[in-house]
Amino acid sequence: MESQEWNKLEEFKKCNKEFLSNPIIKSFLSNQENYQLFLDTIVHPTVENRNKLDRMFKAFYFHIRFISFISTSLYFNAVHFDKKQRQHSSRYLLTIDSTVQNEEGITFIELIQDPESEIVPDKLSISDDIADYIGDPVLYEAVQELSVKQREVLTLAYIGGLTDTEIAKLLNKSQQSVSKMHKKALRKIQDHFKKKGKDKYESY
Amino acid sequence: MTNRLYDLVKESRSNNEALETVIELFEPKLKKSLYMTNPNDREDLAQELKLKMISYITEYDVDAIPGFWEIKEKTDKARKKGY
Repeated sequence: MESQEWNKLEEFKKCNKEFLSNPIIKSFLSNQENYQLFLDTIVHPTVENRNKLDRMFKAFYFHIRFISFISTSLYFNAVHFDKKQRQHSSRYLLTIDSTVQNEEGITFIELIQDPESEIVPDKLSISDDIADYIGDPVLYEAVQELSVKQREVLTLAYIGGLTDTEIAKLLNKSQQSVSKMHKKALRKIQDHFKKKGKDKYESY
Repeated sequence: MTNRLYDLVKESRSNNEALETVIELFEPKLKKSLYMTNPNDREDLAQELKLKMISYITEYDVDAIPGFWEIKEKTDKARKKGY
């Protein structure tokens, strides 16, 4: 019986060399589970086995075809979209991006800014008090309670993004004393939160 | 996993939840595709691609996938012609 089964398999393999060397069939059968099902079907070619193998294969083949189909269509649609978008923006230029008449290469956007002006928008929004940057009412109260020097250190550290050493140089102090002030200020804020923050935030 | 996607896509024609799951599965590929265009247009592109995907998924002919025996028959026929 054993050898008969083996013969059946060998015969199938011999008769269907071309079919079995098909890449998709090959990769389907490289899966252990699928190969077992394939062996069962060759040895016992019942309708049930054949259909089961067919179903497994369809799902397998579908998986590959579907994923590559969706992936390539996503890619080409994205390329197409970008092409259309570029075409659109080159045909319907914003006034600000179009070139000034009679002057080659100069766009309107370049004429908006006055480089000689003394008012720079970036500087307008900069404040040297940390309290101006705070939106949270409890934190604002806490910062109001700090001394002027403590606030100065916090401003330089968090708004200016300086390190304690850099702040020390700027204020002509030792790094140790700046870092002490910094820590003390943070502790004070923390204490304030512990006192006041609790009842305010517990309702959330 | 292999079987899951197969069933999900089959179901997508009538079941929106299945459709949503399939679209979510392709989310990483979609995100990658967004880099094809400039940052201002990416949200538009994402929407566009999702829309396209819906039609691709629901209109995909799942039954057109050739079966195991179908491919075998085809290779047999091609061989016969060759002789």
